[in-house]
Amino acid sequence: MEGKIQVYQYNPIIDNKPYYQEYRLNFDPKYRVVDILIEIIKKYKIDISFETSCQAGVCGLCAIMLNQNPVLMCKEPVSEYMLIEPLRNFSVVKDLIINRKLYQNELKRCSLFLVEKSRGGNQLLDTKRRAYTEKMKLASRCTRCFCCVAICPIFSKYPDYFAGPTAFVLEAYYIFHPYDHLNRRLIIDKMGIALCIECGKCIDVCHFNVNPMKLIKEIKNIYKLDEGG
Amino acid sequence: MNTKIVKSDVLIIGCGAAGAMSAIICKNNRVKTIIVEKGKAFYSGCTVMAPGGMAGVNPAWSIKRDSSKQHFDDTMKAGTYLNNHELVEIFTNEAGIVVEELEKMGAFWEKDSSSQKNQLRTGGGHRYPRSVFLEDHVGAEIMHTLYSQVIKKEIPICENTVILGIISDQNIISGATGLDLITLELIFFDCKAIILATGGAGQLFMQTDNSLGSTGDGVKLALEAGASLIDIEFIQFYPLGFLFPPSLKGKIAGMLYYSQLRNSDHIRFMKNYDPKNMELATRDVICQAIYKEISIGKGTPSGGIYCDMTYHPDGFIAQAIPQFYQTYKSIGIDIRKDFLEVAPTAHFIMGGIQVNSNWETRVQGLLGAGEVCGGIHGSNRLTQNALSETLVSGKISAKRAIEISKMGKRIKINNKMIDEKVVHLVKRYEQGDNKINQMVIRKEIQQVMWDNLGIIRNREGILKSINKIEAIDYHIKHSKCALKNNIFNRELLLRIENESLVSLAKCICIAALERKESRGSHYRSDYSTRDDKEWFKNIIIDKVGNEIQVKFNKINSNYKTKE
Repeated sequence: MEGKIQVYQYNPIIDNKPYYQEYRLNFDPKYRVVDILIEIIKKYKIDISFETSCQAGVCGLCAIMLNQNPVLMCKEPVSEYMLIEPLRNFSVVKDLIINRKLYQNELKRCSLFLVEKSRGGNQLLDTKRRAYTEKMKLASRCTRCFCCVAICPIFSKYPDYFAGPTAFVLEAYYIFHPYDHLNRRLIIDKMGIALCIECGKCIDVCHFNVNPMKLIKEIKNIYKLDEGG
Repeated sequence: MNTKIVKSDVLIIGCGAAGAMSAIICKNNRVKTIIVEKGKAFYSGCTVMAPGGMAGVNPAWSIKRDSSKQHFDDTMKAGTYLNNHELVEIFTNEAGIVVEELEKMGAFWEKDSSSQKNQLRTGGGHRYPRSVFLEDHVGAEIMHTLYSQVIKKEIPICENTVILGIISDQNIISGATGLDLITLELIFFDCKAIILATGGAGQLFMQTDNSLGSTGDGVKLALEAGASLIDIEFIQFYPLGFLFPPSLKGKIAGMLYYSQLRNSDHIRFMKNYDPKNMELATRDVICQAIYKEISIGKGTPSGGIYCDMTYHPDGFIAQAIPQFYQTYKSIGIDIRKDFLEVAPTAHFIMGGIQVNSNWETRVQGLLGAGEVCGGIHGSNRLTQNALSETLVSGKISAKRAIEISKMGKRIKINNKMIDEKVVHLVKRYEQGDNKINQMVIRKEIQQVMWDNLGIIRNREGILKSINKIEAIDYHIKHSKCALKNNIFNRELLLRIENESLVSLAKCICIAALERKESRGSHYRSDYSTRDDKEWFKNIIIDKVGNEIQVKFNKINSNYKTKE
């Protein structure tokens, strides 16, 4: 299979601004996107920086934009025309590597850890909790690849006011956790849950079937945010 | 070149489960801790990928007949009694406790119908089910829980920083030098104790389910600092690795307790090798059985065997291992009707740095934690022991590191010495004239090791690979890496990793050549029987100058083999 591949390239030390480089290549149609990049590096003897660790679709480190869609490089099959860009809504460190630190710092403000005893008390009743473990398990599948953050139209417009789908999924894990006793109502408010328009774009891009929109809806439901408190 | 100096009490190298666990324990005891990670913290490493379970006996949920003693016996038996029984005893006693501790930190394990007790999984070699789990992402659950604690306790992490060498004076460590791969800045980590938690070295082999960063860096660092290696010839292969597509080749394809293995005649061949346990035999037995089936022509067209999951009730696989189910679907296999073609893949390295019961090496102030240490698993690791071992070793090594840092004095180092040692290290990369691609070298190492030191080994093959590895070593030493204008220098990282791989490969070859018997995961076709009389001992490897020295350590244990 012959393909045309355009790759976003940017080395902040040398380049004034990012550019797209086109490569033509023959490859096996069974390849994944990450194999193509390695092939390009070998054939053209250049250096394209990208991050990848497990190469089995588990760690979530190799998320990129392929033809404007966020995908995991190690899971995505190849096509004849490919436009490879770094993940949208993040700043670029080099080539396809994004700066995850900034978003991770954001996450630090969301109290993403277990609080066993607190004065506020969780609104969930103990007897009800068992039903919630299924939702918690759903949230626990999240690998923080940030594909849903890259596609989220609200996050791209109001990054300072809306924490992005990943943050809510991680928050949902603790909200539905049977041993967590923190009332996370104020945190959720501050993360801008009211801004979510429930467009459902994050459902399709999730490679682990987490369904962030459903979890956001469930959180709204629990804290009765729809009814104005 | 300027050197930045970072001061701390305890330096932790590697941010997998072992590294993160010890960091949390250190921080709890108000010791200044820094984690250094080669890749991205909590994404890189092998812990995240672990699908199976975490073994540990705790009266709160274990079945009544089960005990730590039974866990101890199973572990020793799987390791053919070559294990360091002191370490195994500590490990089996602590395993249940750390599982509970992790739950208190926020991890969640699958519960039974009463939603009080943990559900338990069994595995090959465990007498009773004793492993907690959560769907098929146990490792990710552990990692995310530890991450939440690291964030909560605000432990600093140096990401994208690779450690080049440990600086020690008269067998006492004084720090380590690192290189920031983004800014290419040199860093000197001034500390009183170092915990190596760099994990295994699956990248030695062409087919492996380990992550890209598993290159045995810790083993090389420890060897050069003066520590010894133990049992390094034992490498575990996981029987179920994908054969296609190319990008998934070698990755874990399923769980042994949910599969039946069949040869080309669709016969469950394990009945010829281990009729009692069938697919729940230990991994070394299954891998060797698969190899024998393939070599007598009973393999599948693409050179593997069939993994059958069709016997499960409809929907069971999708619910029990959802991520695997997704993968099967994406490569066009309907697991309810079709067989999956699988072959063994490099999984775990049983050997590593020799440690005492405090997980302390021979060098004062240098400790190990996790897969990088050897001795605890003997000749074959019992399945599901790896995750709990990382946590137990992380915990105990941290406790010792706290003691050291509270008692120990900081060794004064003048800047001149750092400059001499560090600048020399880096200049090496720009010298040389060989422009060979490091990726090509990596592939060569993997090919040599896979061909000659895989599941079946023999003298001729090992000798051949020793020569080949020497030649590759020469190429690496004389290759050039441009440092200028290059942030995120992949070529440089690959080179540093290749150096670690080569030095580990040499040790593995030498130890495999020495052990003239077949035991556990080490199978020699020229010495195909187990020889308890002659070889009931550990092989210890030291590096003196540039020479590798081999010593033997006879085992004086009361747990002698009964079979």
